[in-house]
Amino acid sequence: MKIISEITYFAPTTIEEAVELLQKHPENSCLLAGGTDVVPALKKQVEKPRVIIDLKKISGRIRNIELKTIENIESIESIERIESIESKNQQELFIGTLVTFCDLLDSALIRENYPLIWEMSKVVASVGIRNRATIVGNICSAVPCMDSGPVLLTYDAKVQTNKRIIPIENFWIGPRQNCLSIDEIVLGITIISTSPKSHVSAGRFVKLMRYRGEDLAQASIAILINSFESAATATAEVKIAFGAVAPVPIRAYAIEKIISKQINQWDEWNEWDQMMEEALATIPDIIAPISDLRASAEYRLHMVGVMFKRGLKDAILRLQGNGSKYGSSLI
Amino acid sequence: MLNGEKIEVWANAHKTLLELLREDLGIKSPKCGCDLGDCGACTVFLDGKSVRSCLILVPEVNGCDVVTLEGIMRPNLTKLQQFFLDHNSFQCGFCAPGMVLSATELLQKNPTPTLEEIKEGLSGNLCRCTGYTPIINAVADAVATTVATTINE
Repeated sequence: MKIISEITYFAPTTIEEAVELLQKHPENSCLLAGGTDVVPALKKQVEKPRVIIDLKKISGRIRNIELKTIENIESIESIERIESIESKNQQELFIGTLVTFCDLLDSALIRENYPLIWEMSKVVASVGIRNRATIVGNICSAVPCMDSGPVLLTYDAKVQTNKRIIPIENFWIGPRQNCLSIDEIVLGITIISTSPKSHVSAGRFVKLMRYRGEDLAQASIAILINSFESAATATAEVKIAFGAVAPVPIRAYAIEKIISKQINQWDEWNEWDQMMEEALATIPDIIAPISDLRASAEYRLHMVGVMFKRGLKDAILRLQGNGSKYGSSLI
Repeated sequence: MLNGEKIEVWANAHKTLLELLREDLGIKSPKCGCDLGDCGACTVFLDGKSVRSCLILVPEVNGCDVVTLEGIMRPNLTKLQQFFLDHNSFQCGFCAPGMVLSATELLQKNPTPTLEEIKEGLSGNLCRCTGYTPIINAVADAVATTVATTINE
């Protein structure tokens, strides 16, 4: 498939230059990072830009993965105040726009502190794609089957652009539609969480594919459990999100409510079946799977239940230190 | 840089690296399979990492280092290629350049992969002929032989 439209290519060296270019060509320009989504779109003529703005020559934060402790949350002007149990021990992860999935896999910082991101990165496409594809590009593509969406939802991620900070839940409007304006560029993704000193977290990312190896998700689920120890009690919060079974990745608040009621009773497995029944009953109201080339709606609906049950069990076992290795397959 | 040589090319911005290599520069090892990045037949190394040349626009590689199979197998076959030969790993050969490069990268990053890791490392390269077994066996043999040689040194 040759790309048939004539394209003018720019490689700005600063964000400001890139924004200027977007403002100069408001109707028909396209940002380029890894290109693993943009170039197929050009070939299939889904997108027909006249101007390509390549971000890869821009230096600075957008190339980095950074983790820092926030001593005093008031000192960060650009981050909105977060209510949390222990506001003193906060850490902020920043993943820049040009960070590839391979960069995330190679990062000990990600592997140790954000294992769901690591586990998800492992199953994105293939090595050749992961060496170029960026996690920011993945969310900007806004495809319903994106792998990073459910995981970032469970981490309550925020998208930092040159203009504002957008909670990830509000970032996607519909299939292949994000909320960015014409001259807006994503600079990175931030995740604020309580630092490991005061909490333990574990989770599970499960991606259903037609076969082992590379494939788009037929359905995916991300489960994150944060467990907090304070002087008085141990508490836990659970976050669950689904991918590829709705127009956009979606948080399962109804299920989180049901599971959270049991937060201090993880060992009472005899309650488990009842809790699962209640939780599974809510799934048809949360998701809206379609039938397409990769799977039927009925299959997706059924498998989401299976993935949820197995995934939650594994996440709890991982929290207790007895779970499977991150990156191992579950279905 | 292309296979160690500095070159200068003129190309339209909408030309892909794969098209440039095959049509303009006579580098035939990367193949056009799916043309969408799924099959791995177009695999080349860009700045030391395997990439899908069908998904890269020519201007993107300005100042970068491109290495194709031709670049690593001259003047002699690589050790890994000899294992592929010995195991009769390929039939039509269409997937071969991509497989060899992916396997080369795998062993550079991880000299002692398990069978699962070999399969995972090659999972981005599709083959229509062989059923993958002789390809995986060749890589596994290369790993075992290298390990044995290192132990005996």
